Amino acid sequence: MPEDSIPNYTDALVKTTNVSSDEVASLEETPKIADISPANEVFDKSYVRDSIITNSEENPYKIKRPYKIELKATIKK
Amino acid sequence: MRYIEVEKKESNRIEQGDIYSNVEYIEMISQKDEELSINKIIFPYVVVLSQDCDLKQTSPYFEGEAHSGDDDKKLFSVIVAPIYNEGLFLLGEHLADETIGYQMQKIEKLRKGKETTNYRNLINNETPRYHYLNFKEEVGLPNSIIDFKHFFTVDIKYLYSIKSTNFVIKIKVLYRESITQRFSNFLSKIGLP
Repeated sequence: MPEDSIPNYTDALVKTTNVSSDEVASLEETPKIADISPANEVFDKSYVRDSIITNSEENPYKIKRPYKIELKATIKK
Repeated sequence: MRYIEVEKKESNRIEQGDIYSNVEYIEMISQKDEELSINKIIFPYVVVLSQDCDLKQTSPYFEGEAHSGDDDKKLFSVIVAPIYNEGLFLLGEHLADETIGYQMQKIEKLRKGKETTNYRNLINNETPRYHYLNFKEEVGLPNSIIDFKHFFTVDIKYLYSIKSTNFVIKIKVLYRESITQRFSNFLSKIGLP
């Protein structure tokens, strides 16, 4: 393939999954450490510890789970 | 329940048992007319399952060191498996982010104040699909579960490119061998006559 016919993807990459207003709203729904009842055995110390070590500026609930992003690019010819 | 031993010192190369954060898995690349779409899944933590001798032999190719004249030992990819937070895992919500939306099986931890058999099997590594990681407090990682069924491969050049920024810890030799051995046993679960 001639070099000038290779599409240039990188210049056109657009990240489409910036933090949306919905996502910001979901931050407020994230369980706080104080909300985790000791009686609820499922939320054991590992979850609490996880929340503590996570940067509080981000959503600990979200970043400790896998998530999907989609990138869109227009191929330049 | 035994703690898993780890080291925080990063090696010059990728090693079996290394844990990396925020590793990308390319789910799909599709093209429609002039539009290219790339779907990725970002895994918060993965553990390297590839055998260490293979990783050692391939490292000179990626570290600019001298190696034999041919590319016989050069790898394309590294086998990894995701590590899930125990609390979310027990709830079956570890893949429930709205961008993925999987509801997984719940594992009940206690019934009538006693640990259930399912939970005990999980933490004692008697469930072939999973490997339980019981980290010491000072490690700074929550107790976690490796799901062998969700293993995938990552491009080795990509993993080297994020190695220094995304390295978290490495699991010590005996423990990592146990993990890889259980993984290979899980993959070869069908017996032969």
